Order: sequence, then structure tokens, then C-alpha cells
Amino acid sequence: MKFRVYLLIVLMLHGFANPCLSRDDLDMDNLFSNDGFIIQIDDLENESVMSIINGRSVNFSGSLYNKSRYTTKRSDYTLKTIFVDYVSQLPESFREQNQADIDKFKETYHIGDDDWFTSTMTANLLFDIRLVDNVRGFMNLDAIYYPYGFSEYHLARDENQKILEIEEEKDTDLILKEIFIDANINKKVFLRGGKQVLQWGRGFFFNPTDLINIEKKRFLDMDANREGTYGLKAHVPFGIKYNVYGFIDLGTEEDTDYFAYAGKFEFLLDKTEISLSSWKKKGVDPIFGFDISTRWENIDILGELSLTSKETVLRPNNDFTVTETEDRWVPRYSLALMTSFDFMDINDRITLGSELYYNHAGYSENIFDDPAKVLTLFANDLYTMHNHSVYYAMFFAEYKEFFINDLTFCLSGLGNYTDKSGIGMAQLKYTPLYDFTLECSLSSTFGDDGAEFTFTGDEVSIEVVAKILF
Amino acid sequence: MTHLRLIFIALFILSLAPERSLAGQVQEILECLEESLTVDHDFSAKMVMVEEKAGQGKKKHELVYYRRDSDDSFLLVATYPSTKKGNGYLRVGDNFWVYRRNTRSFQHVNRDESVSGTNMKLETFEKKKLTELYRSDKTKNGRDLIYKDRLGDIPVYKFILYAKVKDVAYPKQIMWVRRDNFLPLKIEYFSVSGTHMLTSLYLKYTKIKGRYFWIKLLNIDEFEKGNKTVADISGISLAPLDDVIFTKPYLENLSN
Repeated sequence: MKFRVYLLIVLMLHGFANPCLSRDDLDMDNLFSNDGFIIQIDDLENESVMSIINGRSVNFSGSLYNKSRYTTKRSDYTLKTIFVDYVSQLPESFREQNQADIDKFKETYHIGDDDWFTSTMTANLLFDIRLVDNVRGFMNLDAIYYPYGFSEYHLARDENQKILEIEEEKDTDLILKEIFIDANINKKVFLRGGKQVLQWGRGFFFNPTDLINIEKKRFLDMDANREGTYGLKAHVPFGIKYNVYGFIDLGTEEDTDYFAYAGKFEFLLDKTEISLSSWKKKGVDPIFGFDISTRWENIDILGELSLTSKETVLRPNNDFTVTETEDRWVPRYSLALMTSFDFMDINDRITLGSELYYNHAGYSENIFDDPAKVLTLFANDLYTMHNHSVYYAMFFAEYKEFFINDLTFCLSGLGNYTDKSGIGMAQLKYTPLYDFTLECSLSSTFGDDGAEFTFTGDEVSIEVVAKILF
Repeated sequence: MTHLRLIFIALFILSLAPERSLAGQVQEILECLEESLTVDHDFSAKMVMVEEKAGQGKKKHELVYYRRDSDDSFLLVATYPSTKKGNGYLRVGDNFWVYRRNTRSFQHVNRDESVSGTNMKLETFEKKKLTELYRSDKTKNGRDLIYKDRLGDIPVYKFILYAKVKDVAYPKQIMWVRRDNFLPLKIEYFSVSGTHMLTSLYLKYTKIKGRYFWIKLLNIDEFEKGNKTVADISGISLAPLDDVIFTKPYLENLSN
């Protein structure tokens, strides 16, 4: 009896004291064996990497998504005031002459609507054509279906050769986001010619050094494909430590005076990447850029600075005129911090980030509460979203595996410190199947009526996106 | 009876000790392991990963893998499925970058970044740096804890490693390495709280110029039961790699 007791105690204590030596769940006898453990290299399938990478091929891929959005309007807002107080008082003849512009403006910002709903279906189509030696062509095309239609405006001449603006109702649209050809000189100089998106600047959202990409990042869809800029890029790498980039922006006018030229030198110091850049266009003083990305402890730090010695700034007046001023030494800079940390055993489950932006040439007063100035601002195409005032800040937070494995929760906000307005968004991303995602986001503007994020009158929006990748 | 008692007391004391405690050997084993797994020759290979998620079935990923241990470089580029084609991971020296094709941007990342959204981490593909990143488990008097064990019919050493740095996927791992050539066979990864997160089983190796490289790896997610990924390496070529392969424009060019 005592023998059994000892034996039992020994076995139990053995188990407690050496948990690492407990029985493995897997059947290791079947998994591990000396037979066939080392495979001779010649016995492996021998399809070489070069035949995969360097072979001729034509590939087609992309995504298909539906985006539906319901937005509530504020009861009073600047643009509504503009149309009530100003446009309605314009002389009849002037109004008739500019009716198309007025309608386009009203349609774009849903002026006069109460709550509004929109829905689109988009096919994002990617064509990749590869020859040998890293020569290839690429096209990125958006085909969009608008079930409720939209207006397109173009110019035509009547029988008296008078120029008319014609409005055409359409329900489909094509946007060629990128189309380019890649070639190289002996794999020393990599060239990309055509309409292309470039990485110029490192900030999450604000890129003061990026004077090349025409379409800026959109706060409500920061990972969206952007429309490229037409030009020629050359990239010369010197290993991984040094990279030299050059870009000629061939613009949208058939006149070399409109070309812009940019260059960038990027170098690596330990784990810190630094770039020095410059941009020049005829008639515009050069703009110099500096950006940096590094890491301190567990925090990613990204910064950008641009500086020009002279910048011409156009400001709207409240009598529908514009004043031109010249600013000297105009800096713009952004600073972003991001960190991720483990939570409840999941690696990098929570990510937090924030970014500040200073725009020296921005408005230090709020002009969105003055309908006349707003009208002049838009009539002269002087408004750039999120780059209008002096100070901006944004933040984001992401929580992976939110309750379930395939659900991610995101919170983000963007604010204009000058007029104390902003937008906040909460979003759920769910991936129930491979290559199929569902997103639901709730966004709301905040601030007084007549501020940058509230002047359109949009208040609360709920958006649902269903997307498949192929 | 007294003798019997003494025998059981001795057995009991022995049972509390490791199966076989070998002092000060983990460092040597790790050094041997790193040497056997450092390939002194450029190579390129094709990798197929089959990811299996509970409730979602299987998904196949194909990547090409270039590696040069002489300067701590590797490049992994997705070639299939089309939705991920061109997403790539570049490592040179102490820097890791991921290239995201939808934003056309390079981003600095850490070695715990997952590859193509699977449970494979970037650190699996780098030259092994265990002596730099981990320390062994010690007894109270400062000696390494190491055990003799068997996996299947293969004799192995088993020991626990704790991360010395933050830039690793998991802070603790239990490792089983072969006694004859120090190749890792099995690694269990644990979170800070001690939860068993992942088990890696290195099922097959090949020999490249006298050194070893794994060609079949099974990663079993122990946290999300039912999720696993199998990676198979094939098409290994020992042709010297052009320096340009480990540069940003080369990766950018391969992208969609």
C-alpha cells in the first residue's frame, strides 16, 4: 500500500514540477522521423524563381465593391445660406449664364437636400503586363456605376459658334487611376513613365513635402487607391543605403512651362531613414523638403518639413474679390507618432497614432462663417481640404481581433484647431471569408456651423462597404 | 522497508530535477544551430504557403524568396494570389520594410510582422539570430536548464529561451533541437502572460553547401484553434543574386 502511495506521490509531483515535459498533443512519432527528414536539393521541384519573376505574363486582378452612404444634414449651414442669400439674388441673366456651375456645385455638396443617400458600385481593375528584364506595363482603372446618376459638364458650340456648357446625365464613369510603363537601364536606373502615384513624404495623413501627387489622401478612406500624376520617374538605388529619385511632372497642359521638376535623395542611418527633396516649377520659387522616419523604443516617429522662400497667397475678400499677397519663408511641417502593443496575448493588438500639422500659409481666422468669402474661395478654386488653416491634428486607434478573430475596430479623428471643427469616425472591419470584407463606419462632423468641417452641412454619416478581391 | 523508502525518496528528488540537466550548454547549442542554419551562399526559392482558418477553409499563397546571409538580406515577394501580388518584405542589415502596393509605400516594420496575413512571421525567414535575441532559462545558481527528450524517433535537446529584446514575435519559446546536428524541430511560442500562442514544427530540411535550410514548416495557432499554415520551399537555386534584388525599386517593380 505504501509503495503505491509513494509511487503516486512521485508521479504527481513529477507532473507538477515539470510541466514542460508533459505529453505533447501531437503525434510526434508520425511527424518526426529520420526517414526523409533531410531532402536532397536535387529532389525538390525545380521550377526556378527566375522563370516566375522574369517570365512573360499578362495578369488581371482587382476588386469589386459597393459603397452606400446615408448622411444627415444640419438645419443651417454656410453653403445653404450662400444659395439662399447670394445666388438667388444674382441677376437673372448671370444666373442663367452660370446655371451649370451653380447646379454642379449644389450637386457636389448636396445643397438644399435634407438627409441624403448615395450608393455606388465600383470595379477596380488592375492589368499587369510583364516582359523580360523587369520591363512591364500596368493599368489601374476604376469603373463606377451610379444608380442614381450624376451630371457631367462639357463645353460645346452652338450654331452661332457661341460656347455653351452642356450638362449630360450619366450613370457610369471610368477613372484611369494609373497607367505606366516600367523599364530600366541595366538595372541601375529604374524608370517609370506615365500616370503614377509616388511615395513622396512619409506622414500618415499629412504630407507637406508631397507636391507631386495630385490626389491627396482621404481621411475617410486612407488606404484608397489614388489617382496618379502624369510624368516620368527615375529611381537610382545605391544598395539599400542610398536612393536618388527624380520626377518630371508633365502636367496637364501641352506647354513645357507647366512642367514641374522634383528630386529626392534618401539615405539610411542605422534604422533612421532621411530624405532631402526639392520641387520647382516655372514662375514658382523652389520648395525644399526634409523628411525622417525612425523608431524610439516602441514608437514610430515620422516627420516632414517643407520650406519655400516666397509663396504667393490668394485670399478671398467679402466683396467677391481676391487679394494677392506674398509670404516670405513659408514652412509647413508634420509630426506623427505611432505605437502598437500587445493586449490579452495578441501581438500588436492595439495600435495608436497621432499626427500634427502646421501650415504657415494657412488661414489663422475662420472664413467659413462668411458666405461671401466662401463663395469667392470656391469660385477661384482656392480651397484645399485639410490644408486650409494653420493647425490640424489627427489621431487613430485600431483594435485587432475585436471580440472575434476577423473583426477590427478603428477610431479616428481629424480636427482643424483654428476653427475648432473636425470629423470623427468609428469603423468596424469584418472579414468573414478570404478576400471578402465588410466595413461599417459611422462618422460625424463637430464644431459650430460655418467651419471647415461643417460648412457643407453634413452632420452624421453611416457608410457600409462590401468588397471582394479577385 | 527503510531501504525501499530511501530508494523512493531518492527517486522523488531525482524526479523533481530536469530529466537531464546539462550545465552551460544552451549558448553552445544555439551557436552550433546558428552556424548550421547560416547558408554561406546566395539562394533563391519558391515558397507555397497553405493557410487554413477555422470556418474559412484553405487559402494558397505563393511567394519568391531570395536570401543572402553574408549581409543579412532577404526579399520575400508575393506572386499569388493576384490580390496580394507584389506585396513584399525586404530585409537588409537591421532594417525590415514592407511594400504595400495599394498605397505604393514602403514602411519600416519589425521582425514580428506577419507574412501575407498568415501566422508566419518575418523572423522565420531571416538568418537565425538566437544568441543575439534570446537568453536561456537558468537554474537558481545560474546554470542553463536543458533537457534530453525525443520527438518521434529523433533524440533532441529541449530548452526554454526568453527574449532579451522587444523586437521579437514572442517573448518566450521552448525549443526542441536535434542532438546530432542541432537543427530545430519544434518551437512553442508563448506570450508575456505565458499563454501558448503558436507551435512551429520544422518537418523537413535540405542541405545547401553543407548548411541546412528548412523546406517544410507547419505553424499551428494554439490561441485560435483550427488555424494553421504549412509552408513548403522548392525550386532552390544557388545562382548568385544580383545586388539590385535587395533594393527598393526592384521590389516596387515586381509589384502590381
